[in-house]
Amino acid sequence: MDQLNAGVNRVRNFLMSERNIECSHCKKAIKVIYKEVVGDLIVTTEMCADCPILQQKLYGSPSPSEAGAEMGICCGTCRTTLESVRTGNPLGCSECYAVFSDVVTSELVATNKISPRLKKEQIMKKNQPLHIGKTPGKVTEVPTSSRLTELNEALNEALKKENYEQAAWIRDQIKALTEKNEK
Amino acid sequence: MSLPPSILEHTPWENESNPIWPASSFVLHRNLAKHLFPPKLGEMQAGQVLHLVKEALQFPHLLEAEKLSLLDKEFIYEHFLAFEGFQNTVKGQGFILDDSGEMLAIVNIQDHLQIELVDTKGEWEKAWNKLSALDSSLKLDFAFSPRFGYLTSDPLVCGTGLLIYVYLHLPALIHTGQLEDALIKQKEEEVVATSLMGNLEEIAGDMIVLTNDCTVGLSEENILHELHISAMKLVGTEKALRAHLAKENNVEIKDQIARAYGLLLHSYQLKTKETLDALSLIKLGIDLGWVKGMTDKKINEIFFKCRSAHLSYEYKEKAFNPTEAAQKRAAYIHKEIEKVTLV
Repeated sequence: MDQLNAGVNRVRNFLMSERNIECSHCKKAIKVIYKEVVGDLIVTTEMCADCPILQQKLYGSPSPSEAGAEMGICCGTCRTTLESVRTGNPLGCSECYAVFSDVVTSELVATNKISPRLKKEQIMKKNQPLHIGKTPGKVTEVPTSSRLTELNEALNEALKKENYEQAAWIRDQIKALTEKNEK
Repeated sequence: MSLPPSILEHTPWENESNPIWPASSFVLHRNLAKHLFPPKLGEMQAGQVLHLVKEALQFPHLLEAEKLSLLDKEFIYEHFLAFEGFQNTVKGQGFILDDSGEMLAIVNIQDHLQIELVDTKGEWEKAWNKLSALDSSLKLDFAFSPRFGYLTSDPLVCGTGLLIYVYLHLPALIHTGQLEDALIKQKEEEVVATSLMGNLEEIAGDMIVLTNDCTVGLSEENILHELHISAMKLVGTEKALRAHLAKENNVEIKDQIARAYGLLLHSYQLKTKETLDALSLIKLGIDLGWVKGMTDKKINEIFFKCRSAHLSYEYKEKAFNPTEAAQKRAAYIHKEIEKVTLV
């Protein structure tokens, strides 16, 4: 299941907030479980592989020059800092997207959150839109007929794989939907 | 403040049209352009945003988080299968519900506005079109940029800001050990599978949740298409497998159903997960014709009502501690399944 779990980093925990299943600092999948003995307690921190907090724990605090350089960059509207964005904290306002545009793009690329149907050149060009889809105020309707196309696609695939029981069920669905549309 | 009858008197999946695919939920994330996002929003500004959103939505039931008890917030969380608990809410945050109980607006928690629509009738496009039309009609100035689309506080949800969750009940695939193979073969590339527990290592109630992995670089229609086709293929596979199990009168699965029945009938304490797991097998048994005296609709009702906050409401009592809840849950289940028989 590792292969299937790898992509899940937006976690929905239906059964109560019993477990922490994301990186304790950002929202990526856990790669490292870091345990520290503090007095009588064992403190466990779950982190992704490239968590800056992990780097800090392993190699100590960043050098004063590095820290100074990072502290200087922050959003003029909401005072969100670059370090905060890098550790996976939420953005504070719309202006953050302009200020941290490169970081947000890198983060989207690193976590595979940009659809692979978008070309790499388009992603890297700063002024190119990454967004495809509706815009404020614009109404876009999805027709019911698109479901018929999907069902036919699924039917062809089931037949190709000689999965006849699945194909029969899909055929029933197509029939039911066609009848419903005709009414 | 009391919860509206639309959610107190109706369980979410009571109108399901397909027992294998009981529900889908569509969630849109939006922020207002001229306000700081919720993580940076002050109390007074949060109150203004709550007021603006309430005015724009015109839903009748505003539930201000500060006026709700922990039990009420837990109830909303359970009812809408929400993302995270609402226990730590503060002034200026709230929930706005419509009269049908299908739509919930969560205000100032992760984003200024998260509108969730739950579809149990299998009206996939209709549900999305309804939510999209509402979104377009709102007289609110949403934070939007041509490059990143709708701007969300979590940058990994920007773009369309649309997350769709498809709930699939796949006990046959799970209990015959074929789930992993089916997911690898049937799931589209931009679709992720998880469970109600948040990962596939731990599955509760044999429910698998499909969701879109990307919100950027593809349209809403693309997201709908990828999820729908993945769901259809998995439902077809589950359906075919169930027909096969019924035909061969599979003893292994029959035994698991009988054991689940025994557990539900003879326990003094039941934890939520073990209850959901056992109920799932009873639900499968109903579909295969091996369990009588219970309807699929009723099982769905119990599926929600056995959870802690719903259970407290059922008994009209304060919130239970975990031990009390386990005992009350067992008593509630005994009562509900007393007429169930195995064939």
